Amino acid sequence: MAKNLAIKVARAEKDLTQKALADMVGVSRQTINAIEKGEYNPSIKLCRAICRALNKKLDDLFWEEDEDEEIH
Amino acid sequence: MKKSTKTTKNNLDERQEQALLKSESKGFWMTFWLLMIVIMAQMVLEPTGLLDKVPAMLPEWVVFMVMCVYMMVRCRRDNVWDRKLKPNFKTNLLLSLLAGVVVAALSFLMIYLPQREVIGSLIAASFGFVFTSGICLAALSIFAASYKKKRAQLEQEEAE
Repeated sequence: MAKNLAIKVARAEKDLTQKALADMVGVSRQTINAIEKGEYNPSIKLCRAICRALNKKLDDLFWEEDEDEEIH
Repeated sequence: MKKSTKTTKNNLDERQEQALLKSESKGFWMTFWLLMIVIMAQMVLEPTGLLDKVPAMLPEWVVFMVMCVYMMVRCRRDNVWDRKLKPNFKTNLLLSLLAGVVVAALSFLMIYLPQREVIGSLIAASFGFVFTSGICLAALSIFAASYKKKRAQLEQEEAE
């Protein structure tokens, strides 16, 4: 699974640490770290919570262009 | 209908929950196959007399301990404690006392049923209670401290 740089960038834009984001969405910092490193695939519920916290759309943070191209 | 948050609250987040479910699943199948092997080995070896010197229930006890150690190592690696229970002194004490009561009852029955001796059974039960509670409390306290230390360390580290 590829690294999720979009979350890292969106988090940096809001000047949030992993811990702060983790507290906002109710998970551990390690979970946010695992998502950013592409080691963990979050549920849609957590994806939505992260999007709300970072004020982004699902597509902005979790859409992978390469996979889309492969499907079509 | 609104669910009670008191009864449904999970200490683990979804990633930790998945990690624990995975450990439990692997642990279950490991125990299943180990018990299957133990049962088959006993069926084959029982008539030969090779198991005469093996204490009763020893193989099952070994399987049980393997499972316990496996779950402990996996939970330690994933830094998972429990879904409902928290690693604090009060909970550890309650669990230790509960384990002590169970061992005390077993000790009492193991002596009382064959010998019908009340005093001896009560002494055995008292020792069982004290030792089990003490050992459980010590072990739980050590592991809880280790868990908290590792959790604090992981929560403090920032990504590279």
